[in-house]
Amino acid sequence: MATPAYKIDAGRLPAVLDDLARHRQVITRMDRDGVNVFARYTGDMPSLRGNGAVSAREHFLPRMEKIHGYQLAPGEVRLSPAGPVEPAVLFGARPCDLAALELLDRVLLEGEFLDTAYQARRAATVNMALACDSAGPGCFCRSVGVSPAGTAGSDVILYPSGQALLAVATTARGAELLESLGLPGAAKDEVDRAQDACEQLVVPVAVETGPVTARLGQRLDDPYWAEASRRCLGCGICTYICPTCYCFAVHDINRGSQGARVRCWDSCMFKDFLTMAGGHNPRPTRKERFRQRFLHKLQYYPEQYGSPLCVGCGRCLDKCPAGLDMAGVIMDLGGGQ
Amino acid sequence: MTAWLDALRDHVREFLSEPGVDVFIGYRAGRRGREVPAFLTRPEQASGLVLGPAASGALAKYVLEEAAGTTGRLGVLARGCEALSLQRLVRDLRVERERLHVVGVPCAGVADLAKLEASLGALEKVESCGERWLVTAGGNRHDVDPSQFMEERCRDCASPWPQQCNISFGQAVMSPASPDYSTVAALEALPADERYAFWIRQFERCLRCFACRQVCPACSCVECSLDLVDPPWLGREITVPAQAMFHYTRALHVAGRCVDCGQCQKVCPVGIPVALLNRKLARDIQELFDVQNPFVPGEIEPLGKFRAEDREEFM
Amino acid sequence: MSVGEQSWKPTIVAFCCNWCSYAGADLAGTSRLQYPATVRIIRVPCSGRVNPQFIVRAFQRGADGVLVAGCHPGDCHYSTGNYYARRRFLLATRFLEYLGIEPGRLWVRWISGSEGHKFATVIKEMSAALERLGPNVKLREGAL
Repeated sequence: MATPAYKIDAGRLPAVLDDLARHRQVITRMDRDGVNVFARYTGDMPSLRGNGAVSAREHFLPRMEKIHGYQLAPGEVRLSPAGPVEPAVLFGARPCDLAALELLDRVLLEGEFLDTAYQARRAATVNMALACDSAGPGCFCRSVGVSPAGTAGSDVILYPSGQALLAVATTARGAELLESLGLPGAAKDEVDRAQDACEQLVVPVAVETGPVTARLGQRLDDPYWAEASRRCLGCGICTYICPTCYCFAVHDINRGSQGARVRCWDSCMFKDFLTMAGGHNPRPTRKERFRQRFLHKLQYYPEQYGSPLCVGCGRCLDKCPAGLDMAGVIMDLGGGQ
Repeated sequence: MTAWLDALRDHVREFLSEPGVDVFIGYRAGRRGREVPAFLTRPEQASGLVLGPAASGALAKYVLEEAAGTTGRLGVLARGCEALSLQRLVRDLRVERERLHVVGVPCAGVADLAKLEASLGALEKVESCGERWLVTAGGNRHDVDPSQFMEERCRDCASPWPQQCNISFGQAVMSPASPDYSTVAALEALPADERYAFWIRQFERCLRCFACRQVCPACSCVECSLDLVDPPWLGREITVPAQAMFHYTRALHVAGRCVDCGQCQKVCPVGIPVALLNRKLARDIQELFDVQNPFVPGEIEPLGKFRAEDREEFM
Repeated sequence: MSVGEQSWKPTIVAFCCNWCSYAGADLAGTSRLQYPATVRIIRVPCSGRVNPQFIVRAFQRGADGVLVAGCHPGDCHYSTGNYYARRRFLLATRFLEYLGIEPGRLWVRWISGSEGHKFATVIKEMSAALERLGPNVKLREGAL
């Protein structure tokens, strides 16, 4: 039996979001002072242009997350757990952002150690992906195995068709959610047409990671790293807007007799990232830090999991103030023009 | 095409042949119509120098890393704001003026590349041609009115022509304007609660990527108080009060030293109008301390000196 | 606590310079002058020592108002520290307002070692003014 498809007309979108929001939080994209960000739906129309200034991983790995609170009492320390995870729908993240979740899953949910907070958010969130019918100037998803109509990481995929969105479930829980919304059906040929348009979308940037990854092991001392990193400013933009970066640091916030242990985003581009007790820093200069980021994405991760740690969302191409982005570095290393 | 470019390249070629010269920092063509910072060390590289509206305008800060641990001379290409930024680093004793060879070039404004891409498609090249820009994008050439696509910060630039250079090329393209404080004034006119809501809404987006600090020519401390874990002035927590502390500290720390290059705002990945904080402080400095141009580095900065008859409006 | 509650009293964090204002506060005490018990004094070497970050930190940790008090201009123990502080806080006062903090939450006053009476008066006035403004919620850290 074919998976049923549903149609959400533009005029009906607010009602659908309201419906969704009745039983769970809805995270979608909003324009805030002209900046497209993921935010909780509170009744204002979302803006689903582009893919968002900061990736959707923010919902699964928040910028700051409480691990536990503590309170000093006479003779003891009382710990309080972090709050429960709310059920959620992530509405309108692009296929690249959701494909990134599958890359993160391998690190955070496979093997002996589970990231339970991430696991809880993944389990509590139904992802409604929005397929791309137009590409941003820095998009290169196809070069890293992601399609503008890709369904990896999604529970529902939405295909734009004129002003409407056509919804097709890609998992059982996605199907259940769609069914509960009481939407009108969509004609098969309309869905096929919309899906084809997305699947055939040409993305502007193309690279080849394979040959780069194959040779990186021998290029640790390549003068390229020193030369290219000269123009790196040492900020954390690339790591913080990236859908596939997941580094964090754990900190204690002390407020007198109480406080909390939290984990916050951290960036391998920062000087302090690897500074150890006693002051030793194994990555003392920008060269090592810059190299680390690209080796992680293009060598270490592929060696372990078989694919680059990049989904080609293009954010670093748009935002790096020094023009030092993933696609550019891949090209510099011999992976295309 | 810029007539002075060949002369500039010849000059840089000669400069790089001189003994005791470490590097020349300029721009070279990047991909997708970008012009990216280039660090030239050999004379033959000079032919790759370019300068168009796509060049970001943040070369000065690189001097810090380039000068560290070396003693040679450093050449830097400078438009108006880059020249002011270099003066800033020199005044702050972060690099000796004698080590710098500042090569001034005219500025035709810095392009808002995202805006160009949004309306013209994939960029291939952005050139300045007299008072117009020639943009090659999506396979076509477009004659573009710069005022439509210029970075906001460039529109009321007070110092488009580089000052205090060792040598300069070409002639001014833009005429100096007076800084436009109307947005500052509009914010000041709001009730306190609305103003607070406005800023908190901005700060909430802050990722703490520190790009505004990293790019800033006035933020050159070896250890930044915002990085300290003990005492945690900022700490690592991401809360509204902490975000406010960050932006308040950053702005006040550069107060009186900001050169209004606007890079902090330009690089912000989440569109926080950081320069609006700097501009407010600059305008107040101008007004309170009778400073003529708060963005031009002076001998002693306004907060590093005083007059016995300074106002006491807080009484 | 809400503004309406009778029991609410403002909390003032006062940065007092060691040489004048702290001595002034001391004199207010030894002279048995009455003033509201709303102030928490932090002794600093000089008003010039007060980093603008201190102000925001005080608000973060629950202050309803912050007072920076130093020697009168010309009387600084270090000759000029308070002149620099004056410029700094002229700017910081306006800047806090620009960020949306109500005017009147940050006070700067010159109080000499012989002005115990002035110290008491400033605290009285400031407490009354802050009571009218109500508790400060802006920049305040919430529960973790």
